[in-house]
Amino acid sequence: MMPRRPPRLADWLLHRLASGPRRHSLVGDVHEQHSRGRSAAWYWRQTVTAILAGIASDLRRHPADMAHALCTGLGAWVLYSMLIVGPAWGLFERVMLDYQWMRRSAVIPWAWLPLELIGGWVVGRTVLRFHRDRLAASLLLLILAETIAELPRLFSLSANAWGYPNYRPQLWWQIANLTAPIVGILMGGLSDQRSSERDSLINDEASTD
Amino acid sequence: MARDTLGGFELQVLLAVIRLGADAYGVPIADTIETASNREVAAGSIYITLDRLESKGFVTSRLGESTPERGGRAKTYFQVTGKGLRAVRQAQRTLVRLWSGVPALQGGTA
Repeated sequence: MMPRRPPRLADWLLHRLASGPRRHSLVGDVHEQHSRGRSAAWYWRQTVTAILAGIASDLRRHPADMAHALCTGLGAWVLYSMLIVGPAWGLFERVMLDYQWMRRSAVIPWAWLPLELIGGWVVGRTVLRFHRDRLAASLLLLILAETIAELPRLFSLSANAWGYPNYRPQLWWQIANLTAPIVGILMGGLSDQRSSERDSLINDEASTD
Repeated sequence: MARDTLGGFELQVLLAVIRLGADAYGVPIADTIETASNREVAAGSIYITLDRLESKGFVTSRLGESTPERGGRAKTYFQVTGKGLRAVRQAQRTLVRLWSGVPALQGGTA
């Protein structure tokens, strides 16, 4: 008999964000119960609970691992900034001096966003590589760190933009500047290509049984 | 929670592992607790609790077989240790002593 397929998004999230070295057995248990007649809503409840309970447990019971994951992510960010962002900024400055019209346009600030996105992706992939067992909590910590670092600038710009509409483009750029690395971190952290390939192999084998 | 004592859910999981014997893995453990408590149990919570019990030395684990309905993923079987059995007996003695000191709960009439 063909096993019932679980909800795709919930399955994708559970597979990537379930915590601990035994997460494959956990995913297998949830699959097994679903294939015995549990509903899609039940599967979603199990997914959300497993991810949240895993994050809470990792933060409470493994503070050293969490600190290590945070340092790994921030280290990757610093390295990326030194090797890529620094030289790119120098290049942008030269271009801005050469082409005065660009100084007045919004091209340069917005062209900066892909660099932030790629930086986030590098950080996410690095954490995925070294902290796979506690991925959800590690990604959450990095996103919180990034948000906290940007908040003061965001607040001051919001206060300025409240009274002076001239500041609004800067505020939007700052919001985009905060969002791009977060999206990058999530894309890098959740791009577990090897596991999805292995899972599709497993599912193929299962369906031929 | 002290390292050698059992919390409420830890005790439930450990009792389920003892009851199931050699067949104790995530699904039957969840079924046993759900049947006894009439409440839905989260698989994630069971694994977190089992990890904690293993780090306290109350259970051991081994990897078992996989089946198509599990998407090819292996089961993890758990077995109680001598230390785990002693912890359950200690928890039982504590609860019985506390229970006997509450006359309103005697005989299940309250």
